[in-house]
Amino acid sequence: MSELWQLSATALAAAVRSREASAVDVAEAHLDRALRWNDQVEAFLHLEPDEVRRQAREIDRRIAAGEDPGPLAGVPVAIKDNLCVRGQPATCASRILEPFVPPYDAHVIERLRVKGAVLFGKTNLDEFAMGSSTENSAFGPTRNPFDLERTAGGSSGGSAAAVAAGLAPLALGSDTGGSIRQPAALCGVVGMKPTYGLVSRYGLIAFASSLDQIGPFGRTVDDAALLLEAVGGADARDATSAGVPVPDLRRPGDVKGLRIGVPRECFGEGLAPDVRALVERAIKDLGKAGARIEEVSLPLSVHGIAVYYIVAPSEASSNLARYDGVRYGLRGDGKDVEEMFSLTRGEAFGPEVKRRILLGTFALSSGYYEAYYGRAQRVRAAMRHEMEECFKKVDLLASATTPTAAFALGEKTDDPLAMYLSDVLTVTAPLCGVPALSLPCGRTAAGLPVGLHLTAPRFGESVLFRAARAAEQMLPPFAWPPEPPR
Amino acid sequence: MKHKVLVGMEVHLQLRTHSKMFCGCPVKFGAPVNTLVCPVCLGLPGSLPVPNRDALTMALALATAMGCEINNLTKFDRKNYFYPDLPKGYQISQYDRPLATGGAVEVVTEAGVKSVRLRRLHIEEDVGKNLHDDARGLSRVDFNRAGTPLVEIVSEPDLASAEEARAYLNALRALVQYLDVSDANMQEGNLRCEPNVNLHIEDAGGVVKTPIIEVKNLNSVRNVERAVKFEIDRQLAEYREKGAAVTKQPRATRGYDDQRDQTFEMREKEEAHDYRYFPEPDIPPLSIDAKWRAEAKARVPELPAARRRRFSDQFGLSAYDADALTRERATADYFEQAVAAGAPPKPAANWITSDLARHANDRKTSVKGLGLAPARLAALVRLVEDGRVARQVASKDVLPRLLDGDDDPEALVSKLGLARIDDASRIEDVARRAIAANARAAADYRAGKEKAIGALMGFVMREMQGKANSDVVQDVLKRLLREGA
Amino acid sequence: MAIDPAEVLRIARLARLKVEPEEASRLAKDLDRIVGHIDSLRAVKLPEGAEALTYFGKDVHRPDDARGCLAKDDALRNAPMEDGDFFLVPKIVDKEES
Repeated sequence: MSELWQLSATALAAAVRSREASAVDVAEAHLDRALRWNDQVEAFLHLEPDEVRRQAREIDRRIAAGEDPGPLAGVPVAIKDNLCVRGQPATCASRILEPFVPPYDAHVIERLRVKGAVLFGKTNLDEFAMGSSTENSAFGPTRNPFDLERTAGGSSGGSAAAVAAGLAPLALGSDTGGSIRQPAALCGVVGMKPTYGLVSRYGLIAFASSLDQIGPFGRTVDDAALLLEAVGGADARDATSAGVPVPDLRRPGDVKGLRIGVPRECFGEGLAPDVRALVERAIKDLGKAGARIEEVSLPLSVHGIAVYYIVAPSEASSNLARYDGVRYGLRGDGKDVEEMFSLTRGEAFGPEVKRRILLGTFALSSGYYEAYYGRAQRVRAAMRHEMEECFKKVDLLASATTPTAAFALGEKTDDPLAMYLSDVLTVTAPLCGVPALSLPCGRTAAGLPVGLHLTAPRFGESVLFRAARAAEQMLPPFAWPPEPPR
Repeated sequence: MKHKVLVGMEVHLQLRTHSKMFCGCPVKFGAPVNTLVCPVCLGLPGSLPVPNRDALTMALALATAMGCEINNLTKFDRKNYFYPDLPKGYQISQYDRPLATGGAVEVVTEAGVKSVRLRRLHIEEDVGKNLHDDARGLSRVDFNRAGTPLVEIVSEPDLASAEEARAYLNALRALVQYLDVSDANMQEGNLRCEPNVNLHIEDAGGVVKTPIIEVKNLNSVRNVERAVKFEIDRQLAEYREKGAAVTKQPRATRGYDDQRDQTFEMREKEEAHDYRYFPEPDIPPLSIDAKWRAEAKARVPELPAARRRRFSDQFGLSAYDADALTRERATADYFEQAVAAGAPPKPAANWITSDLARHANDRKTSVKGLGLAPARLAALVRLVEDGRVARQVASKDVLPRLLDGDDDPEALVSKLGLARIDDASRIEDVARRAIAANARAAADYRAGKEKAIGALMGFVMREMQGKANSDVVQDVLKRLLREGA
Repeated sequence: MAIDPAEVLRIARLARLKVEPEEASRLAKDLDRIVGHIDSLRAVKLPEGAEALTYFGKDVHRPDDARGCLAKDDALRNAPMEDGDFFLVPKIVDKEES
């Protein structure tokens, strides 16, 4: 008999709606695990057990009254701490927002409430979503449940770790350059970044506006689909919302005849041999199941890091200008307002955030704009065009999600550039606005998870999830990390 | 030594929309502090802007009215700087693809009519308001105004004097009132203006261009005129003193002190503004298609200049009267409504530009604001033209009562016994008394001094409270004087 | 393009980020390395008349409907300093009445 925390979200929702299990029992099972694990893993920045129980009781009350609370009834969903939940802190793992409590719900949070989900705490991230390891969190890093000396990845490390360790069956993260998919790969769970515009960004504390997307974590492809269906779709409050509903993600299907492109640029020398072996085998399995595998080339993708590390910091330097100590957040002590601005921001932003603000300010500044921001956007347009041309020949792209399995805490913190270069496999999708998903495709000899990365054309979530489900069926099932020492 | 004056104007107009530019907060004057705010216009983390379509249509209507070239594709850009009243640390504005470019404004001065070229028109959001509390060494910030839609209009430096600058502002104000897109009231802050002034001085075979001075913090059209005049004089004087050395600094900003009627140097910011403009990623571009242009065009009514000309042609009004009537659209509308209700045009124009205008001024309102129904005015004017009431009586005794009540003019005249007296028999007694009381004037008249009758007429009119028909009075007096009464 | 500590301080001023002199040296080194990598974009050959990408959509706007606002208390709740009506900030030195 499985414990409640071992069940998938799909199974949990069914159990709660059919009254096999109460929402309160589901909540207690996860609270128990969360409170026991969090000290070691540091997945949560904020978790209010009484508030969770209150929500669960309300779900049970409504079911008893004959109401249908929705497709996520009673399912705990952990929320990355850069999403606004009314009345709960939203710190973005930064000192500058440590005291901030939003007076409104993000669109995706409103959707979750409507669908009967139980909002289950705020998870750790790299400060303002800038990073690939949560080591940039002002409140300490999140550790990988498979090896507590290693990083859970980032920036949505807390959400990935929470799902991997069974602290919550579902979690929301955000992805700008790989911040959902990379931690998903390093923690052995499913994580995906939707098509740009499919999920409303209203209430997501912005990092890079033209790249950010909110996306789901789950232990299975179906669970990730369930969560995406719940939160995606049109929102008039986000002008970049595509205004279309989420397509059907759970229709059964196979990969027969599906053309899967394998970009040669993704299999260069930076790819660790153990990762390469697992990913190549997974792709071969897809071929055996009927997909047509062919090599493709995306020559411009080698410039992805350079383009990303101009565009994202530039937009971020502007998005973070609002943190000036006037209306919310921390305020530094200044004798006049200018001094207050500089002290507030100079003291309360962490080093990576400062680095990126400076980089972005530089790239936009007079005399440099054309050479940096202007150029980067032009290359980005060309990359997008190149991707669109590629998708005329294939239906999906496949590669590894990360060049290596989880790295040790502290291994890359001295060299920001090295950290940036580890994003090389994930930045292309957000630059082109296309959806991409990572699912576990095995473990290294050391027992560390490895992720298979699939990319689809814009609004190609149906084919993306279909292929992911087919792959999942052929790959080893979800493996639990070792239990923490009591 | 000759000099040419160049004045360019940068004007910001607040648009009369119901809601703000990028969020649904109401646009209202005088609301309690920080009550018209939401996550978007407060710049809370996670908020996003969505443009107000009607604000854009209003701006397009204005661009159409000024003959601008409207861009097929327009977008927003971020203007990045730090200030306490700027919630996001950037203002959403437009940089390289504004709504419109080119166009012109017709400006009327004593010297004649001049066409002032425009450079560009774009739309942006307003910022909040800082109030300085020097006693406590603090500033207080109110964000009610943050996010209000603004149109910015930049002209070429085609204006050549302070008078032209004033006339330009008045022409713009009339235009936007006609279009009903802005109240354009400088005192209320919904029209702001920064003139840029410099001189091209031809001296000793060369041309020296004085620095372009931008003047800020002007709060009335009159002060704009005064400041521009002061600047022109100051720059001339500075050149006379320093010669070509004035060109060391190509531009500067000055403030205006209206108590002393002087511009003054403002402390330069440490670094020149580097606004780091880049395309606003949160708002996709907008295509201004034929349908939208037609919609904007449909919102352009007959404009002041055209209406002026039509009033002259159609109603036979003098250029002066036509201009006075058309300066405010509501007044011109009122005039046409009165004419439609039966008022003869020329007298109606006269009533509106003199009597009604005076009352409006006294009561600190507009002609329309007096609340006198056009049909009532028409009835009054006809009474006078038909000779039923003396013009003066109508103005002094009837009109004020009409403004305070809702009476029918004819009924009022009747009730108060103010009807004009045309019956010579009723005038004769008073006329005789007039001659008796003014023997000297009577004698003068009989001696051949025609003008002496004036005193006698005055006596009769006063005695009869202005109600007597002055022509009949004159006839009666002349007859009596001839008869030697 | 080399980024030196003086350049770092200039950019930091633009971004209102207080940077100590020791910090400036370290940041200059980091940024210089990063920009060095980014400079590889100069060599990218782009097709003729390459447009700068910026957007995925077009023509999004909203009707001019006024909606409810935040209650004043909610608006002020997170303020570091307020007096029940206004947000308060230390004095602004170069005064520009807006």
